[in-house]
Amino acid sequence: MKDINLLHIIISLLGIMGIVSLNAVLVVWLERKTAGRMQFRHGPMEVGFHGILQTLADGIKLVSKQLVAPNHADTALFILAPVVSLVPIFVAMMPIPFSSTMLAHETDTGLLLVIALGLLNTLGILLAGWGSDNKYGLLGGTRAVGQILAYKIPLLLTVLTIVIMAGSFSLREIALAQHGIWYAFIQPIAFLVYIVCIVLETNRSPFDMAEAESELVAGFHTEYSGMAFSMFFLAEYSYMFVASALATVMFLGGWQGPFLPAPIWFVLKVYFFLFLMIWFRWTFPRVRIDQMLMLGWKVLLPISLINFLITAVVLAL
Amino acid sequence: MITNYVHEIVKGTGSLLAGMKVTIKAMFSRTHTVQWPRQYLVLPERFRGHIELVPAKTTGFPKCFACGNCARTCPSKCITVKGKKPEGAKKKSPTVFLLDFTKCSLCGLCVESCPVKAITFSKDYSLAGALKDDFSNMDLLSKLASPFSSHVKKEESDG
Amino acid sequence: MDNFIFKVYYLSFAIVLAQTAAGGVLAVAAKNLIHCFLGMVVALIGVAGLYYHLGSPFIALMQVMIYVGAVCVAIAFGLSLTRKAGEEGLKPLTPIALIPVVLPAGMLAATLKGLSHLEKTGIPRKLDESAIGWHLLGKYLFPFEIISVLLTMAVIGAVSVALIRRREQNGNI
Ligand code: SF4
Ligand code: SF4
Repeated sequence: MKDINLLHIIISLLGIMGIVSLNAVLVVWLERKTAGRMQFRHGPMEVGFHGILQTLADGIKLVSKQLVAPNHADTALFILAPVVSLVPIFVAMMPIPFSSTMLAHETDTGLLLVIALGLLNTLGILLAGWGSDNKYGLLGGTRAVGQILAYKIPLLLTVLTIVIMAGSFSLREIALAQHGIWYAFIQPIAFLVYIVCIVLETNRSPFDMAEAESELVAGFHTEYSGMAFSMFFLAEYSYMFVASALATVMFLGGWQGPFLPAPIWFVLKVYFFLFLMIWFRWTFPRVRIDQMLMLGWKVLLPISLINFLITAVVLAL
Repeated sequence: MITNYVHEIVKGTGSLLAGMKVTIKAMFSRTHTVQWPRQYLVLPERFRGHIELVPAKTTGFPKCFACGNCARTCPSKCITVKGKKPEGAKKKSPTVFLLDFTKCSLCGLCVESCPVKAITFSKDYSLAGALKDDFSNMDLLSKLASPFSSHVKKEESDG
Repeated sequence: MDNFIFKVYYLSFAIVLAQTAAGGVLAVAAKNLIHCFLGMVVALIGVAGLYYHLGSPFIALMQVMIYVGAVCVAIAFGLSLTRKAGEEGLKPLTPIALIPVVLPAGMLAATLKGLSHLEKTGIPRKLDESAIGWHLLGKYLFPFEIISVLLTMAVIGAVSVALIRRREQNGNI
C-alpha cells in the first residue's frame, strides 16, 4: 500500500481522460471517413481539415442538448446507466502498457482487471434498457445480456491460452514474453477467436443486436439524448480502444517494434484493430440473435476449448 | 460430420474475407460524391432544369419578343409573359416573364413552341429557396440584361 | 505520510463496507425486481472491494468477473423474461426477516470470539497469485476436483432436464 503515489495516479487519470476523449474523436472520424470511402462517399469534409473536427462539433451540440427522461422511466436507473457504462473505462485503462514503463498502474493481474471491468458495460446497457421504460430499450438490454453469455466463455478461454503461454496475468509480462515472435503467429486460432470475441464484446456490427437500428430504433439508448447519449457513445469507443489494446498486448507484442518509439508502435497496433472493427462494421450485415448464439456456443466455444487443451498439453510436454 | 463442421467454418471465413476485399477495394477507389456547392456536376446535354430565356448573341437582351406562344401552349399555364416595344425597336421585348415552377412539369412544350427558340432548359440544379415565391414566381428576366432602363422594368413587374 | 495513507485506507475500507451493506439492504428490501438486482450487483462489487482491501486483488477481480459478470448476468437474463418488475419503494419489515439478520450476526460474533487470541495486524500483505494455483493443484487437489465433479453434475443435469422438456414438447406436436 505504500507504493501508492497520489501524484502519479492523478496524472495518469488525467492522461486517461485525454486518451478517452481524443480516441473517441479520432475513431468516430475514422469510422465515418472509412464508411464514406467504402460507399464511394467522402464522409465528413466541412469542419476542420477533411472534417477532422466534426466529432468535436457534434460533441458540443450533444452537450448543449437537454436530457429528457420518459414519463414512466425509472429516473435513478436512467441516469445511473450511462455512468455505469463509462466509469469502469477509467479503471480498465490503468494497467494498459503503452510502453514498458508508460502505464498508469502496474499490477500482476492487469489482464483480469481489464476483462472484469469490461463486463460491466453490459450491465450499463441492461440498466439503460430497463430504466428507460421503452420496449425497444428493454429488448436491446436483454439482447446484450444474451450476447454476453455467448462470447464470455470463449473469450476467457482464449485469454487463458495466452496466459498459460506467457505464465503471467500482467500485461507487461505478456507483452515482454513475445519478444521473439508474436503470439498471433504461434496462436492464430486464438487470435481469430479473440477478434470475433472483441467485436461481440464491444457490441459492434455485425453483432450490434443491442442497438439494431433497423429493428429496435436505437435499442438500449433509444430514449437517451444529450450528454447521457454521448456518454454511451464515448463508452462504446473507449471499450473498443481497451479491447484493441488487450489484443495488441496479447497477440502483437504490445509496444515492441523496430525504429519507432514504443508508444507510437502501441497506438499504431491498437488502431490496426480499431480499423479492423470499423472495416467489419461496414462490410458485414447484422446477424440474427440465434445466429450469434450458434456462433458463440457451437463454433467459438469448442474451437477455443480445443485450442486451449492442445496448448496446455504442448506446454506441459 | 466433423469434416463438414470444419469445412463450414473455413468456407464461412473465406466468404467473409471476400466481402472484406470488396469493401477495401471500394475504399481506395474514386468517390462519386460531388462536394456541392464547391463543385458542380457537369450535366449532360439534354438535362431538363427549369426553363430559362436565351439571350441574343449580339446584344445580350432576351431573344423573346413576347408573342405569348409559350404561355398559351403550356399545359399547366405556368408562364406569364408581358411585353412592349422599347423605344426605337421594331419588336416587342418582355417586361415580365414569370415561371411558376411549382406547377411546371418540365414537359418541354414551351421550348418546342417558341418560334425564335428563345427558351431552353437550364442546367441550374441548385435551387434551394426559403420562400414559396422563389419557385412559384421565378423571374426569368432577372438573369439577363434588359433593353429597358431598370426603373421601367421594376415598375412593370410591380404592376 | 504513512499515517495519511493509513487514513485513506481506512476511509476507503469504510466506504466499501457501507456500499456492501447498502447494496445488501437494497437487494433484500426493494420491491422492484431490477432494484433488487442492482442492489445485489452493488453488494457483490463491494465484496470485491473488501477482498481488494484485504490484500487479494486476484480474488477481488475473480469476484467481479464471476459474480458480477456471470452470475448477475445469468440472473439478469432470467429477470428479462419476467413479466412484471414490481412497483416502487421498499418492502415492509416482517419479524421473519430477523432470522437472516440474527443468525449470521451470531455466527460472526462466535467466530470473532474464537479468533480473539490472534494479534491485530495492520494492513494485510498482498500474496503471490501463483501460490493460489500451486495450492489448488497440490495440497487441495481433492476438494478442487470434487467441486469440478459437482459442477459437471449440475451441467449434465441441466442439459438432461432441457432435453426431457424438449422431447415432451415434440411428443405433443
Ligand atoms: S415545360 Fe411544359 S409545363 Fe413547364 S413551362 Fe414549359 S410548357 Fe409549361
Ligand atoms: S414563345 Fe418565345 S418569343 Fe413567344 S413569348 Fe414565349 S419565349 Fe417569348
